[in-house]
Amino acid sequence: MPELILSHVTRRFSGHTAVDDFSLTVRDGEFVCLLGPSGCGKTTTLRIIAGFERADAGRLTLDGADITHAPPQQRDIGLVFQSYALFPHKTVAENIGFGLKMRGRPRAAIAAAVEEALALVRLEGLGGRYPRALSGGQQQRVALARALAIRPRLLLMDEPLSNLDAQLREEMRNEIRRIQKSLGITAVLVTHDQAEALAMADRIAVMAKGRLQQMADPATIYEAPATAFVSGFIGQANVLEGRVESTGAEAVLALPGGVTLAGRGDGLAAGAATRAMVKHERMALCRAEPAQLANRFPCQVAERTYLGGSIAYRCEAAGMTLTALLPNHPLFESFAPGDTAWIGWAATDCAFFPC
Amino acid sequence: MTGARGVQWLLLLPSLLLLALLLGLPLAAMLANSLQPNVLLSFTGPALDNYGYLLSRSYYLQVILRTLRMAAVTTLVTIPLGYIAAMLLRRLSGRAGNLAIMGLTFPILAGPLTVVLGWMALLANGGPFLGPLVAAGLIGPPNLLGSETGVVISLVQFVLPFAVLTLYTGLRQIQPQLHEAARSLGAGSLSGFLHVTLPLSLPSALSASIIVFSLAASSFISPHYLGGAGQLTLTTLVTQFIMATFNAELAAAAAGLLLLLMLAAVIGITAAIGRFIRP
Ligand SMILES: Nc1ncnc2c1ncn2[C@@H]1O[C@H](COP(=O)(O)OP(=O)(O)OP(=O)(O)O)[C@@H](O)[C@H]1O
Ligand SMILES: [Mg+2]
Repeated sequence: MPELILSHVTRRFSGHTAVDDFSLTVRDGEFVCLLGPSGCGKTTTLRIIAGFERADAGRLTLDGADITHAPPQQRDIGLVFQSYALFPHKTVAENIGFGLKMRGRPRAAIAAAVEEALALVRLEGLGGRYPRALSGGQQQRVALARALAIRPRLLLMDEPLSNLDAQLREEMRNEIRRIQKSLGITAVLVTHDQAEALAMADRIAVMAKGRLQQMADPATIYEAPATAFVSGFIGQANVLEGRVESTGAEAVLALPGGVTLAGRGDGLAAGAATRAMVKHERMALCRAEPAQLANRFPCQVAERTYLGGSIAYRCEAAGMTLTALLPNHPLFESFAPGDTAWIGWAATDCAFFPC
Repeated sequence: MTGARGVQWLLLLPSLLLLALLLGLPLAAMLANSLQPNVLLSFTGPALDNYGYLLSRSYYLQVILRTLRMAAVTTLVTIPLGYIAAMLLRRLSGRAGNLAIMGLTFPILAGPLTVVLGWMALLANGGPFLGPLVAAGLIGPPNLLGSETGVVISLVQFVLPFAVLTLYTGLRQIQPQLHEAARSLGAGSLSGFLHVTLPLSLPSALSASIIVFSLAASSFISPHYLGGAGQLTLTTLVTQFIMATFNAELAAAAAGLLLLLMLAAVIGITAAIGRFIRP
């Protein structure tokens, strides 16, 4: 059972902690995305798993075996680099066959495996080319095929799609998932693109400043963020700061202007400074008062931004500046700057985080 | 496109002319001189007799062979040493690396004559390094001064910084991730080096070999001071023809032979290393 477990892994660089007490379990056959802002330690974590960076503290196990101190070549982990790192002096076929050659497989077996890998990434017939004669997308596929040809116990990918244009990126997202599922391989993909993580992952590990913020399936990460960081990082949210007035299943937050908000949150203490966060698309904007919403305020539309599939409205309401994102659909009302309207949101969509 | 090309060539023209003037003219004059009659021989018009004279006497053939041998041995010793040094240099961080490169280039700044005088003192049988060993009876007198080995030792030292810098520049251009990719695919450290780093560094090894061979074959100071009259090379032979026998035509022919030797070596080295370079 190729299961990867990181327990309390820490890595420091001259005083600066790049990976901080990081624990993570990737289950057999699972596709996990490691998501976080630039510099949060994603690459360092991946390099620790691959064996190119040592862990100052903590333990790694793969398949139940301790690999904390195993050299990279003995880990059986396939790695796709952001820069692809294809060998420029070897043909595509030699690149893909390299891992098997290092394992001393007979020539005929290697040739067959290379053909199979080329078919898997849909590059039949390109085995004789040199990497420089391939497009970015084709190089990406070769890098993937090379990592997969050794039938690794674990596949690691560091921002494999960031050098591709938007259309190719979407195509490759599906392609990578198709291949990963068909081989049933356990995989970890590093990205700072939340859309990529939400679309691809079985589970997402959100990371910030070297620490694990939350590990859950995409819907939970998006809809029930565990920390203010996750809430602000995934999607776009309105942020309001105030003090807790009462706690309970439905908590109440008092804003400086005297306005109160209904919402929910864990670990709240009455009187504590607290932040309310509501996703832009969970805001309702309408002409009639939305009586079913716990939080509702008359407002004035200040700005309208046309986004194609949706329209963003910036509104002023009771001293708050709020953004509502409405689908560009005839069922939804349309507003112009200067219009008066009602803005509102449900208590369940209003998450409170201590700050 | 062709217009831009034309302008490029036009802009290059002054430097090309200068190069032709400064390098081409003396070279042409030297080669023309090597075809002229000389006092020892009785031919009349321009001909290859000077070359024939040098190539038909075993004494001069030995000089040519010695020049070739010294340059070849120097190259064969220097390239591996320089490669190891460049690999170590690549591992050093910014400041340590800069200091190491400064230290490495110091002998170039000091000038070859200064350094060769140092070698003369050092390699003498009674020198500060060998003297005590000889006195203690640990080794017999090595007699390195005036020997081919002594010349090669100082040549290696003289050309080493050039080799290290050339190889270092080449190694720096190889992405470190390539070696890591090889490791992740199951190659050990050594096998990753042999399959990835080494083949990718061959172009710079080729340049370094050509530079080192040319510098060694055309060097004058080391064979002159450390080899002396007993170990004549083509460069010191040229000096002898000019200063001792006043035979400018034979000197020019000897210099012409040195030029030919180096040209042949460049072609030979390129063929030997070049066939391993892909794609
Ligand atoms: N070899 C190193 N020496 C010193 N500091 C390092 C080293 N490698 C990484 N760091 C630091 O560790 C932190 C995490 O780096 P890392 O490359 O893991 O970030 P990342 O999440 O992959 O970022 P990005 O999305 O930009 O690739 C950064 O602050 C970086 O400067
Ligand atoms: Mg990174």
